[in-house]
Amino acid sequence: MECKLCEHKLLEYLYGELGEADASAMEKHLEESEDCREAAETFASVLETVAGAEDDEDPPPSLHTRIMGHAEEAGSKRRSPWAWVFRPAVTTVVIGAITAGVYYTTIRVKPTSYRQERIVSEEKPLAKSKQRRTLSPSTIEVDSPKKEAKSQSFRARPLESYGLIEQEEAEPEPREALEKGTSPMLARPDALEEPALAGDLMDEERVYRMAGEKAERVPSDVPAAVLGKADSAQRPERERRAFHSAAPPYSRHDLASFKAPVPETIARGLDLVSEGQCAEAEKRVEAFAAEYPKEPICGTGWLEVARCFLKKGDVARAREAAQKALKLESSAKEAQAFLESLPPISP
Amino acid sequence: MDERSDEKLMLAFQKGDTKAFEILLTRHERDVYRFALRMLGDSMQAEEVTQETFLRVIQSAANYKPKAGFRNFLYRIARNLCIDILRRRPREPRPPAGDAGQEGIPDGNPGPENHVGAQQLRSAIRRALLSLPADQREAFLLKEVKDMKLQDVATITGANLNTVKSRLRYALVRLREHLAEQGIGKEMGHGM
Repeated sequence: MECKLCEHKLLEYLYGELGEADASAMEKHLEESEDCREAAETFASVLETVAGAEDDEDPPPSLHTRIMGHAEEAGSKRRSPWAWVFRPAVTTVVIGAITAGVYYTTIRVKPTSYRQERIVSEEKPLAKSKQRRTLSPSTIEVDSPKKEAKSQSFRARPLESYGLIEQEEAEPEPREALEKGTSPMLARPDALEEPALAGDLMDEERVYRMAGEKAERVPSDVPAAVLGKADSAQRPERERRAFHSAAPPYSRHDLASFKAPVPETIARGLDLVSEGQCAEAEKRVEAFAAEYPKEPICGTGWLEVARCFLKKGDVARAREAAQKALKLESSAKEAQAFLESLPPISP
Repeated sequence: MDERSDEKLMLAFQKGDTKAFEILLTRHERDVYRFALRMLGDSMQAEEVTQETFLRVIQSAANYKPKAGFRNFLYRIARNLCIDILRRRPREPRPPAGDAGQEGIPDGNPGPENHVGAQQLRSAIRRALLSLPADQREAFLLKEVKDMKLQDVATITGANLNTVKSRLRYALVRLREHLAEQGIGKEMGHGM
């Protein structure tokens, strides 16, 4: 096609896409140019022939039904209030959470043997004391969104939910008091009267290892009873106070690094004791103890808690925890030996 | 008949209204099927393409934005599916235009009194369309869809407007030649 006007406008003209003015100009041009008119007539004829012989074949009715089946399925998912469950991001998070849960409850700890151990005898209801103070998870200081998130996961299971701690007083431990060493926790390290609960969340191997390390690194002024030595005598109150008051002020880093009472907590707590950071250690040991379920079936766990309290110098609570371990078949023998090695409780 | 635009129906389907989708399906199913049939020349594959096109519409409904015209969106999917199928097909030597599928078509000298039947005419046109290169065929068939503008064809095929016009001109010339060889449209001029 040599005519530039037809090259650009003829198809629009034939398809009726030209404006009124352009269409009039094109008609005038076609009247004047025979070649262009012939070309236009040929194109129009082809278009007419093809349009006149339009396929009358329709798609099979089953196609409509099949497509609508898919549409209804998709529509019902979209309407469903649970539709968000099927979104990939949510599914990934849920699967991740389940995997983590399974890991912590079945792989990390050795649950199979523990779960088979059931307490035959009923535990007595735990005594409650109005004077008891404990550190609430809400006192944990966090300084970053990530740590806040970790802390939130801890707060999701408040200590009160275990029925061990009264809900009336969970006031935060003033940081200043802790730093100055005037905290009631420091003044009354044995104020934690609640018997610890043992469970099946103990990372025994690590605790044993940490406890062993601690025994070697502990300061010489720490009484033998604190180390849990069988031949140690009862620790005098004076020594115990000296031990706790010797604790240096904890750093912000220590609080920030505080984690939910996972199995490592107890080991970390012991480690802190070895560093003389007793208040922090107590908090962690207490939080760990509170994390145990109401009906612990793990004798080894009870024993570990008992050792922890012994290391803290709380012989009464250590004895109580060991007595619980004694009732369980798997830990009875070890608990008996532990009880025999305990120093007498100071009057 | 629902007067809502395709875009409004799609937005309604986005919110879970399957009735809206059914209206869209009824509105476009036949045209998409015929477009695919003429592009591919195979009713089974045309059915597959139609089904897959609408399934993709369903799948992408959540991300659909009304500023994208629904019909262009729909035909772009159908066109891409057709091109995929054509690319997978083994290359067949194109039969000489003179003896291509002459069965059912009156031979030789079809005078005005020797009209081919409507069915034969459709077969001849289908063959003529299939003889076109894919880019010319898709341009021609898309323009044949009701109310489809040249600019829409350019958008769907991803070509610029002048390229589309050029393809259409070549397609019309080839069609005219092919049909004339089959004795259809003898009255068509040869002045191009």
